[in-house]
Amino acid sequence: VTLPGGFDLDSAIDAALARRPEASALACVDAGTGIVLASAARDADAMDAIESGAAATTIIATTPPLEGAFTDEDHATDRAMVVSRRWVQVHERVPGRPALFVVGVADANANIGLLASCVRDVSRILGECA
Amino acid sequence: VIGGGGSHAGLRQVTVSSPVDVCSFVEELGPDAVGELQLGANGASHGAVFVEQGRVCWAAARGLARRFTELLVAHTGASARTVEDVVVGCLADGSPFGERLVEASVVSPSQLRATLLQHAAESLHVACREPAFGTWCPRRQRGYASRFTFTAAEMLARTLAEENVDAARVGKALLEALLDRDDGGAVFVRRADRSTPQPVALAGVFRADARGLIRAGKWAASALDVAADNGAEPFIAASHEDITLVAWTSGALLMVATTTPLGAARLLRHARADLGRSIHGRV
Repeated sequence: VTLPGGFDLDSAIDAALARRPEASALACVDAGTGIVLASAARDADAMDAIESGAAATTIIATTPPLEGAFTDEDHATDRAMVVSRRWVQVHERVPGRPALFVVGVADANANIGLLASCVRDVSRILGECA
Repeated sequence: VIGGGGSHAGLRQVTVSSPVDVCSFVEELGPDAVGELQLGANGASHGAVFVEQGRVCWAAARGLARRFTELLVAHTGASARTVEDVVVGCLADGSPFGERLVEASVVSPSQLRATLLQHAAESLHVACREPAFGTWCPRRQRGYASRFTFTAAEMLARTLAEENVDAARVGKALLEALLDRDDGGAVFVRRADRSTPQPVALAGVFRADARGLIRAGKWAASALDVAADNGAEPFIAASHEDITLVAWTSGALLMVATTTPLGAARLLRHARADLGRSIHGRV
């Protein structure tokens, strides 16, 4: 996938995964549709986790307003995590590209802080370049 | 005018199929509303909800006329005669009887609040058992102390707890044990006969109105369903500015909390105990 401006998303995600051992898989996801625009994974299971993570992104990209009976406008999530028995997913909105999220996946026993830092860094890179 | 809070010449009516409709309607009235929402159908009264400054101060249902006295006697050990003497005196001069009961040392402020809430919840539960129309009738203010009145969200959760007593008790105790001072949370149950999760308890400082409460439950249920891993529901935390909204399940309970990112890590530690894992690192 090439973003406007000629930015090669696939190459950027591939390079990020190669640089960052904390993640088992990385992806850039369109939060509106859940479509995985680019992804890289160390194995098939991690790639499956990315696919299910992308579906979750569509819902957790926003949180509902808890107060204000007459407002229906959801709040845009900055970052989110999903922790299951098998995986940890971290979702981070790409700065300057609010429709895009970087999703990182690691084993459930992995260090969540390191994965979050990795995903944040990748989202910043995409935000600066894209 | 029948419908979702329609109005005509000062008369407002609402179709009521559950306590959610009543509490949402009360919320829509705004913070200055004072009056009575009369509930009934086919000429029969089901009950009424009394509102003071946009908060529920009393609810009544057919068949529960003596319930408040029964509850107060059970909670305080006061005699029914003592309670009724105060109430009758207040009915005569139009003064709020709750405050008078406290002044007369019949009941402590916390006992009164708990009794009023339980009574209102039981009454609203009974009044909403059958579909009804609600008619809003503005009244003059009676001066109830706000500490003895209830937000629509508080009223909603306590009313829905009436048919989920154990879930409400267990979930509230769990949240209260887990939440920090500035955190807030809500407990929901998911029932096959309801389209949305039912809030049954609030804990801590959960800044949500009745509609927000329902929205939080829907969001949490949708997110947990979509992110379920081989049928096991995960732990989810989503941050917006300084607020992190957290959702997880504990047994049959759906838990939602508002906290900080560090608070989310603490709640995750608990949730992971359920998952048989320990937390590594911080978010």
